[in-house]
Amino acid sequence: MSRVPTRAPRPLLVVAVLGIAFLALPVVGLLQRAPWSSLDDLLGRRTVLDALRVSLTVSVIAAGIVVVLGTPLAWVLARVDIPLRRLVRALVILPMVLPPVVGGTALLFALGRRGLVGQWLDRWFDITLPFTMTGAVVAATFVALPFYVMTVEGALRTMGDDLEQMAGTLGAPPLTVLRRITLPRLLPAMGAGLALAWARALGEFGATITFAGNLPGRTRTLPLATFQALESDPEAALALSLVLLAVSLVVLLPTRDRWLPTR
Amino acid sequence: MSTQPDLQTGASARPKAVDLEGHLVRGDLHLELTLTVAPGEIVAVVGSNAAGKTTLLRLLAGLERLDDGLLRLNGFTVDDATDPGHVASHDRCVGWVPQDRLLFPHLSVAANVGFSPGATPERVDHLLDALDLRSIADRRPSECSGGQAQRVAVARALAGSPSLLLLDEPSTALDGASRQRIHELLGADDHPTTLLVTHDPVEAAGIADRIIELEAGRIVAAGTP
Repeated sequence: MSRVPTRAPRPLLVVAVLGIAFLALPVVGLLQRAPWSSLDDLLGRRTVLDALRVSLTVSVIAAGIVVVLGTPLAWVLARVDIPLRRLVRALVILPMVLPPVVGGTALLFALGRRGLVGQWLDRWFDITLPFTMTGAVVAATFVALPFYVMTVEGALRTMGDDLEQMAGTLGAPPLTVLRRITLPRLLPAMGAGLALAWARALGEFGATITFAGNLPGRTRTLPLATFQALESDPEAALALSLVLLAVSLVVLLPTRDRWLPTR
Repeated sequence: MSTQPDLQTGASARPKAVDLEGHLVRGDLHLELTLTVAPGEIVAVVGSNAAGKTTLLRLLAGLERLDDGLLRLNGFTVDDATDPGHVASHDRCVGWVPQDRLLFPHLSVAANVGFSPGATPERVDHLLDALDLRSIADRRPSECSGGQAQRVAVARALAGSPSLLLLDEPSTALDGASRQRIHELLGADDHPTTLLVTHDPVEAAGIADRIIELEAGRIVAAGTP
């Protein structure tokens, strides 16, 4: 038995098509202007390869930190009755809605050489974060963490804790329950959250340039290199944009069940 | 509050008596409970849907906290409403079979049955055979029928050799053969000390050694079938 398809009102369809066109147009423009014939040469340039290396290094390390910090944080938000939970969640979401430049400025005043914590890092451990690759990792982690936490926390809430309770009655201590019940069931959501967080880290611009600068080979990531190239070498900017577009499409693949339902 | 009541039987130990005692207040449940379940005895709690039967089992399993009062298992206080700490479910040595079974969907039937840290391979083997689960041991719960899933849930709860087995409406959604197998297993020589709740007086009479009637959160009758 098949359902009778819903007939959309015509004005709704027209606006929906306009929305699709609005989202698709920039991508089409990029593909249409892309220097396909000289792409090999452009992507082989030292500046492009350096930016790719910095971007991959920074985003992969940031994604790793996001999983380590974000999984327990999501679990606590979903399962533990902590005081001021709404405030804590708002704090977690904040980097999602905060202009990245503001995030970078905040990081500078917190972790800069004269910052709240940064002065002690510098004085006691000789650690300087601003304008270093480590700083770029910190900036990327800051903006990417909420994407992971929100995805995993949502999955934990949807799953509920019935099976975890069940495992407890069978004599399994909490860590065993986490390892054998919670984490295996959470893996798809962790994968989806990781993909989103990694994509966000890869595309990070504002917080990075504010906190870590734009130093070739050290903190100049693909988005920064693209922005830089727009002024001097538009073809290289197009090539770099294509790389970022391709990576974004690849990231959509593991999250397709979540964001791209089959119907 | 220390960490564990004296309920441990071990995998091969004989069933022991279990003393349940307390003043239980949780939602609509207001229960003065003084009940000794003899070794291997099956006590059925019957009552209508809102009688508080499931709440009673969840309190015993450590899945809910008391609003007021206290609960003792074998003389050991496992929950006291005035104490923020309580004995966690994994330290209570009870086996719980919920009405909706709650099988672990990512594990096979055999892995579900063997999940309890107290389950020995021999015990799991025995239960797979006794409940006719051998042929579906590699299946996921989503591939099992309702009757098979219920038998897996019973086998899983029994695998750790709990001191007290808690069954919530055990025959719901069971076919006749499955019901018979579970009843046979519970009626076998080594069946565990069991407390079951059911809305079905006929089932209670057919399986239990003793019946307690719960109504609106209070015991209104008790006796043998």
